[in-house]
Amino acid sequence: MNNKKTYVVWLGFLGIFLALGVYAAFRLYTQGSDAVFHADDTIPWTLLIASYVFFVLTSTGATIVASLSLVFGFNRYDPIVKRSIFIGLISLVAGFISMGMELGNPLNMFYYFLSPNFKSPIWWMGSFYMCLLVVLSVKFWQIHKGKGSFKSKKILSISALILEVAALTTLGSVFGFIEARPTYFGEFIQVYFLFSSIIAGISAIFFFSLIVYKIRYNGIPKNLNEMYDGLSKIFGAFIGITLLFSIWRILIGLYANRPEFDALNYIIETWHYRIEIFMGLMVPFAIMIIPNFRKTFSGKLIASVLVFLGLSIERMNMVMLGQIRPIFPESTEGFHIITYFPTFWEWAIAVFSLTILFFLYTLGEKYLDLDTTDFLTNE
Amino acid sequence: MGNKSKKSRRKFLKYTFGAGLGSLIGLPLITNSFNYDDKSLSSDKIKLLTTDGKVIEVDKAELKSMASYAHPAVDKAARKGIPNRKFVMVIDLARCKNARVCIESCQYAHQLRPEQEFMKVVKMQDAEETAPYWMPKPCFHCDNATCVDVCPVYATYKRDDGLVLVDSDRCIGCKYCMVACPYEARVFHWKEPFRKEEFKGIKYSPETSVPVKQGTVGKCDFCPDLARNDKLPYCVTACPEGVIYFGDFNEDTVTNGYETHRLSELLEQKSAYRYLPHYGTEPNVYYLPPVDRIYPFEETKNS
Repeated sequence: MNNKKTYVVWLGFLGIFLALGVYAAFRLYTQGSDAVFHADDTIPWTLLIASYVFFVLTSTGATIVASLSLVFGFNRYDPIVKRSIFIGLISLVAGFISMGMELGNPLNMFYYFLSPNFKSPIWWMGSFYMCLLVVLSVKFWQIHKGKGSFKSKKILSISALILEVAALTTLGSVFGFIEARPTYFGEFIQVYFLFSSIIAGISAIFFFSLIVYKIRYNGIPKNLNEMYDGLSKIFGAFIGITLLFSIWRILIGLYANRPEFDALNYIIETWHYRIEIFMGLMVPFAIMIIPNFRKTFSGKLIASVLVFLGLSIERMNMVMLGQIRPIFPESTEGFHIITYFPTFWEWAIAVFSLTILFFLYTLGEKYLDLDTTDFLTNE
Repeated sequence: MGNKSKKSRRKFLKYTFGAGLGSLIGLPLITNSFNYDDKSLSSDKIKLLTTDGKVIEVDKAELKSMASYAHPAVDKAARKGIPNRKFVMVIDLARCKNARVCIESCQYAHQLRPEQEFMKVVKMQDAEETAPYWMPKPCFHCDNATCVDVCPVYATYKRDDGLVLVDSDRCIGCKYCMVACPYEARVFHWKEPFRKEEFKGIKYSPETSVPVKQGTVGKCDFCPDLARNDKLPYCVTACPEGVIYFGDFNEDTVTNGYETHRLSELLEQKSAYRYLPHYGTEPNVYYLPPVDRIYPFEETKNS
């Protein structure tokens, strides 16, 4: 990195967004929700919920990929284990930041433990993700320090995988249990979250590791080429499945006569939905199934960036789909679609979470030796 | 004779003592309720109609919120409910003219901002060929309330008397209840509450929903603090058309302040229905159909 200078410029760049985010948080806690959010009772969940979903699903996806080696024994994926778990950890932190800012009264969070409602999917989702944060932290510490017996590592890895699947599907049920909003309701969203989480995780792993390889080795090290090609095939397959799910979801919505599905009719006309499908899924899918593109460094990088961006739009579209068509004709007559665009300060907080992710990754890459596979020598 | 004078002396002492004790307890309460202080009265007068039909002139500065009269249950008692009651509301859609007084009185009592409505009045039209009608929409206090199920911290809870209340002292502001409620009955306190100074020092109770806390969720509470004092909710007493009936399912009685009906008979005779029954939420608000609609529909200035 010519190196020190670029590093300082990069940190300065991150610093700007960190400062902006801190100021947005300051506004939020001193002036209240109104100073940050596009206050509206008809659309109570907005960008920060979408941003939370984006980060935590990326987290579970990245750590599920790590379990290819840790749980299922595909040792060729050993070299990405430490980085994947680290990405999983810091994405989770970014997600928690988004959620923390979304809550209107976070100081009451101690009631989460004092008076838990076991019927509430949001309680279970939060608990699973908190447990996952602890398990992943221990797991990462074990890997970093090279400590722990084979048995304890295995138990921890299996526990992490179970928690990951439980957490992301429970997050799906937070939406899926809402009977009054048919575009959320049902078991579809849990399964969709599982697949889209995996592509989110792989895209994050590709993006972060390829950038590092480019800087350090001017490309993927030769001994890792085969592993990355294998992962690209998995990436392509899961993008395909996610695309299939997205298409069927829309077709079901268009075919149905229930007026609540008007939101789907509306959203397919929007530019952001088209970007989500064409740029976020179709183009990366094409890149991943054509060997000449898939095998190249830039093919992998472009596909990962497109999926990363596409999914960030998808999460917002998903959260909005259930709300833009009110379920009760409020204030004005009849049903109509409400358009929503986040405020500058909402963007600032969402970007703040992303900046934290980049910042922690930069530190991790510098101090935590994420390339290592030494931890595997005693297994 | 001597016995008689003894009795009357005892009676005299009893009344004197009673009156003394009464004024000792009552006077501070009354003065506290009206909160007369040294504030100089403004020249802004308002005309009011008294209960015995006289028009009187009152200085605006003397007007106080009705909410200060209520004696709500707090803490654990507010979670239990009023024993042997199951509150119910019946709304006669044929009578509603969208006067919106129910909304205003509710907003005033619950320290809401003008854009916040616990009670909403929506214009409904079932088909293009039919005349529209006005539909007042409070919280439905469902027996199978989705909002209660989804709240992660039990800030929203169902009481023995059928009421679904929100404890703002416990609410974390996740807004899941707002998204899950099929009736969109909830509001979020996005902005700083109105009339903050006026409610300063009042202990918060889920029965009154005041003082409002920014960053938490609120909704229609059926005014249980008033029910405890045998009074009707603000919206019921404010409505000039007698649209809203309030009562007790267990006693099978509802009243709008003018008329009292046997609940079961009223529901049967007027073919009452509940809104969106297919969700299985078992709402405790019944609607009497909007019969005798005027066509063409009269838009009011507030519509």
